[in-house]
Amino acid sequence: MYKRVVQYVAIVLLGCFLYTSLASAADFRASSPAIEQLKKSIKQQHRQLIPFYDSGAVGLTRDGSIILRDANSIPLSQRQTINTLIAAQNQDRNALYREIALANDHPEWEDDIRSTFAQRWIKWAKPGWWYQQADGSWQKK
Amino acid sequence: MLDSFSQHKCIPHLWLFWILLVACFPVVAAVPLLDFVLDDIRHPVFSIRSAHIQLSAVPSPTFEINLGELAIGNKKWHNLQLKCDRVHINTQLVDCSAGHLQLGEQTLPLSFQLLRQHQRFVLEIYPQSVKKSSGKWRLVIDWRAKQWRSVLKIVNGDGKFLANLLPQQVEQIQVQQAKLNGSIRVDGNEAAVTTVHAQLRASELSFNDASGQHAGERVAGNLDLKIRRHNNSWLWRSRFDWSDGEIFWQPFYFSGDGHQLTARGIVRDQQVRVTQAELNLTGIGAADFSAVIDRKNYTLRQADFSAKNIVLSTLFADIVRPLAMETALAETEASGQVSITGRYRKDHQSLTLNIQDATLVDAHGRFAVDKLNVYLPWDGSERQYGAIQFDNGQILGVPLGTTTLALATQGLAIDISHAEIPILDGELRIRDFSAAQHASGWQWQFNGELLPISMEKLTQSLQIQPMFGTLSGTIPKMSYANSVVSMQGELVSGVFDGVAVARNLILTKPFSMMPRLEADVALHHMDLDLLTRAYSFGNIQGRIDIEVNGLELVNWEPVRFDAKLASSKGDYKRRISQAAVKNIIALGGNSAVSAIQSSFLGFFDQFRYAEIGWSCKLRGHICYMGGIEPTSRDFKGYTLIKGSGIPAITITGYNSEVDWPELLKRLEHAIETGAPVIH
Repeated sequence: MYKRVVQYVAIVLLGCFLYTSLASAADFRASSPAIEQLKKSIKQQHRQLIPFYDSGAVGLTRDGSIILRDANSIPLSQRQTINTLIAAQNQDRNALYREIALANDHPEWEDDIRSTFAQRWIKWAKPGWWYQQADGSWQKK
Repeated sequence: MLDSFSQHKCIPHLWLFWILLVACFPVVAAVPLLDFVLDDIRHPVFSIRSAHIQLSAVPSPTFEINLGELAIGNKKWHNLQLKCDRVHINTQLVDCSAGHLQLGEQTLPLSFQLLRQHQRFVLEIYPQSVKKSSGKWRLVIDWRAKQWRSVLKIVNGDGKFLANLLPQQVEQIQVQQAKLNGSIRVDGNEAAVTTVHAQLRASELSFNDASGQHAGERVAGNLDLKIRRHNNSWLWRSRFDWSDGEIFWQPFYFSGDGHQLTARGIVRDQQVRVTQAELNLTGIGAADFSAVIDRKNYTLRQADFSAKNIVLSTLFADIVRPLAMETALAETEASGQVSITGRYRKDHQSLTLNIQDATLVDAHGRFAVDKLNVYLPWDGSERQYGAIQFDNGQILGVPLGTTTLALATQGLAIDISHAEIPILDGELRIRDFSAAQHASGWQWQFNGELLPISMEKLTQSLQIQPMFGTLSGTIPKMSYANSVVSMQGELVSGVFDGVAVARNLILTKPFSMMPRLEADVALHHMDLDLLTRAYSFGNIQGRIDIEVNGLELVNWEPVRFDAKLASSKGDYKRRISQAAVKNIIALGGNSAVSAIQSSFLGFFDQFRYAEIGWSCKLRGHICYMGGIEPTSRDFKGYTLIKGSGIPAITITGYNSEVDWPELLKRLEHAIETGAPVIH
């Protein structure tokens, strides 16, 4: 029950984050069928990733992606699943940054969008999650 | 390892060491009784460089051996020290009841006895494991005039201790724990080893590398290995049973469920030959193979393998899906059986795949095939002929009928000269299909034609708004490369008594989460009466032309297009019903009805019109709308419907920017209820 509540709160927070981060700038378009589809996919994957963030096995990188920090803490039967999940999440995140830039007719914004998202992901991370600092070192929130 | 078993001359003879020991003991002296260095000791099994042997009697008898380097086979250890603090030596016996062996940072308590009369050497080692287990390693060597025998017995041996003896690099697999039981018996003569028989059971084996992508936990298994010298060759046979535990070897995961590997062969000259082997994977099936491996650089020189009636469901789950994580097969369930035979030679390779009565179903429902039979022969150099046949299937919900494809393979290329694939009530005819693997991945192309398919059935299958008419066309060239399907030529369909033409079709990553379709579409002379009846929109009579250029769909949702709708040229009846007027007003947002007051609308069921015009430039989620023409110089409004005759109606739109998802919602609402919601 507790886990469900935590997961629910995390999903709501993520949703709020996505909404606020995508709609914060004036004249900044952050919605299109592609973006909505990516947000939906990212949220679905995020639900599955929460236990791995909690355990510290997966961390948030400084470039707006996620990475497997400690594979040895994950049961063997789940290691390929988490590898696949991380690859899918990073693929969707990269696509999201690109699509938002395209939706604004400014493909060159992609890097700025990525770094903005990287900061937001870390800001909205739960206590206990690991994130990468600007110098590359890892920090527990 | 076996290189060291070839003939060498032993210098000096072991007996020299014995004589020296006996001659110098027991004598009491204040200086070492024996102190000498042997630079180079070579034996068929081992070699030693810089052996320093020291025997002292004061204050109590001690015996010490320091070895600069010990080599057994290809393994080398440096700076070994064997020290015995309690040693008893006489003409018949050397007895060390308490000693230790220093191996790098490891200190191993031991005892040993050298019995001259029985010609026996007994060594017992008690490694101090972290868990303080009562493990014991007991080595007994007996020798006669021309023969010797050694037996190593391991009781609850600490496998980590054994692994630590071997030189390791950081990136290599590290054994965390293991328990070993069993024995290794080695027999030989003065020239070389003659037989080796190992019977070992490993349990509680856990290992991993630094990345965690190669690891095992609680692994248990039995190894039975026999090696026998025959002339200048070694005959061997082995059996390995994996009974318990689990292993992850990126990307594969296996649990020990009684998997078994048996093999026999011969080692001769510089080759290891596997003459007969069988790998039996529980739940998947058995594979027979033979191979020749070059011992110099451990490369495969030749191999033959055959696996019959392999269970496809388990093979897919355990082997195919992990290898196909980024392909359409990543989430495919399979059933049926498959047989594979293969042959590898340095200058020639061949493979034959035989799938019997298989079913493939994509977890997301994107595709499926039933009763799939495949005969796919492949040869590295020669052209081979095979076939693919299935009873039925579906792609993106569109049913496919019974299909047989005759194909040819040559190298990394597949050709199908012609094929007919039934699609609903029509057919896709494929001509000159060719696929080949390039550096960037698989590429294919074909040309063909699409025989008429019912648009009603097609739209029903695709679960999109129904359309009527037929879809057909000629495909001069359709190709796939770098995850992009592109079509040259035109797809022509007959819809709503008009003609629809699709050009410049490009489909990117069709089976991914985000398929992207780009195309230019034109619809000519469409019957509005049929169209509006189909969608219960309110009746409009007339003909229209629609052009949609630069259409871009992401995950089958439009994100960009330039659309223009206009009345077709020609003489035909032009009428619009009251319900359709209301729906159009609702779709346009804040619109005005001019020429006729809204209160008059109720008196008429139908109105005349001269022209209909509407345009939408979709950018992201905004539709920039326009009509036939601007209604004034300030461009604040645009005419959607221009009235004509009596009763006539003109509809003007004032919303130049409309939220596309909102527009779709209103359209769906209008279609579903026939009662538009006017904001």
